[in-house]
Amino acid sequence: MLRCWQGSQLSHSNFTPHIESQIREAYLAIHACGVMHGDVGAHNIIISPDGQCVWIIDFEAGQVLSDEYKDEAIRGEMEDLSCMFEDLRMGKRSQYVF
Amino acid sequence: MTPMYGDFFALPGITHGAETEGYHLPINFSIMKALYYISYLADAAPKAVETPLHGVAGQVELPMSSPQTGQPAAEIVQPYQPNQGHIAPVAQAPGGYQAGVHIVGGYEKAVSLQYHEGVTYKSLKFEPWLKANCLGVKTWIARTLPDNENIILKLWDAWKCSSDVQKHEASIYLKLRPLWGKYVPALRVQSPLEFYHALIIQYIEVIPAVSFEFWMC
Repeated sequence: MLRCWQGSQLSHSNFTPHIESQIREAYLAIHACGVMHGDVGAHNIIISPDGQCVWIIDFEAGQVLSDEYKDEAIRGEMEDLSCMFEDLRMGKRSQYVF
Repeated sequence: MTPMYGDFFALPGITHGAETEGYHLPINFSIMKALYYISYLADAAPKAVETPLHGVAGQVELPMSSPQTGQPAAEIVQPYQPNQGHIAPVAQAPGGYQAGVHIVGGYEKAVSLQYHEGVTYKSLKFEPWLKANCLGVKTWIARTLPDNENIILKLWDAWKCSSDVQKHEASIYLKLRPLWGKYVPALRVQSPLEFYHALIIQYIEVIPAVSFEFWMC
C-alpha cells in the first residue's frame, strides 16, 4: 500500500462525477489488458492537478486474468470500485477510503 | 559451530588469505571458551568515547543525521589502541557479509532490465532520511545522476522477500505497457539494488493530499 504517492490521492474532497468516469475508464483499460489491479482503494488512485487524468498505482497485488475466471474477477473488481465510489459520495471512511 | 576469529591455533588446510586475516577454525570448542573469547574481545575493544552534553558529564550525545538538510550523521572516531592489531577484520566474502551489509547471493549475475532509454539509471541520488522522499513503506522518491530526473523507487528487502514479488509486479507493469503514461505510470527499470530488489517507476508530479503528520515513515 502507498500512503501518499507524490500526488493528489483520490479523496472525498477531489471526487467528482468526471473523476468517477475517468477511474472506471482506467479500470476498463486495465482489464482489457488482461490484468486485475487487486488493490482497489482511494490510496492507489492519483488525480492530476487539473482533475483531468487519473493514474492507477501499486500493482503488487495485481493478477493476470485467466480465461476461466476472467469475467468473475472483473465483476468483483468493478463491484469493489462501486463500493469505493459510494463511500466517497457518502464521505465515509472504509477499507477503500482511509 | 560457526568459525570464529581469535587466539586459536590455525588448523592445517585453510587458505593463505584466511590465515593472514586471522581466520582460524577453532578446535575443542566449548561455550565456556566462547564466553572467554567474547569477554576478551570486549576487553580488547576500544572504549566508547563519552561526549559530555552541554558540559554535563555522564550524558552521551549521539549525533544524528539531519532530516532537513540530508546532512549525514557525524562519524564517531574511536581512539587508536596499539594492542588492537590482533583483532581480526570482518571477512570479505563474496556473496556473504561485507562491511556489515548483506549482499544478495548471485547479485552480479542477477538480471537488470531497463525499459526506458534516454536517462541513465545506473547512479541514483537516494536520500531516504528526508521525509519528503518517503511515499510509503516500500516507496521513495530518488533522482537519477547525472540527469537529475525524479523517479519512484520501490524496494523490497532481500532479507525478507524473494525477488518473486518484484518480478511479479514488473510482469504486471509489462502487461500494462499500452497504458504507460496514460492510466499507469511507466516501469523504467527492474533490478537488484544492493541488498534490495528494486523497481524504478515513472515519477508523477502531483500535490500531496494527506498531511505530513499522518506519515509513518
